[in-house]
Amino acid sequence: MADDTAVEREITVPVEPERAWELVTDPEHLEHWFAEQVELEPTPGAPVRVIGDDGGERHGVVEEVDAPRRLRFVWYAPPDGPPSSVEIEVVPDAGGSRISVTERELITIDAVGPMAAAPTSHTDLLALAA
Amino acid sequence: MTDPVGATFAALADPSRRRMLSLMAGSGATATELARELPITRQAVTKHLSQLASAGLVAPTRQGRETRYRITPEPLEEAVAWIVQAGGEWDDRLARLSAYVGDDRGA
Repeated sequence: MADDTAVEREITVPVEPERAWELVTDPEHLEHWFAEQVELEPTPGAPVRVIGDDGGERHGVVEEVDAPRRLRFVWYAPPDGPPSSVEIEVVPDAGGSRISVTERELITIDAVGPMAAAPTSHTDLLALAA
Repeated sequence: MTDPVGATFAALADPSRRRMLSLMAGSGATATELARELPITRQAVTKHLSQLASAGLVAPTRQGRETRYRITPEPLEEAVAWIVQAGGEWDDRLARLSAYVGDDRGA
């Protein structure tokens, strides 16, 4: 059960997939819906920094990019929130483009390997979750 | 999704309460601790806590002079708190995206 803690959502937007890709990867658009402040570049290894409307922060890193279809990053709420991965997919749809999102809680140490900057307290947290 | 406990989810239809719930995962939290983590007053935290408590999502326990709130039921608390928090955040984000695309298109 532990490795299946995931949330899935999807939405269809009346725009072409290329445009939908911009909506989910360009900070200029992201700051209209994703969060108050967004630092994100669709390049593997690029840092992700997000500040939400409630002031909550998330830090992470882009893991995988398959433009203009798929973006995956991992993030966590500093200082020691549980890390999770977020995968956003854009698929052509009758109504325009379908944007689907899957956020999955990460539970293995390997899975957070790319997050070199993550505080050591994650290790304790992950050990508990294992 | 059929939801036999609509009241429960209604209590979660607020970002502050969801964030409180995720902060309470694990060892629980006092109103003071929650107020320190959130950009809202202790008074507002107390009000949210009583709403979460009447929905049966958290239970108060006395600890010295303070009251510590914990998520119920214990065995599921972490997964539930995470799913509620993360799911609620995406619901909010996608609702804003939908509105944004609509506005954008009309412009």
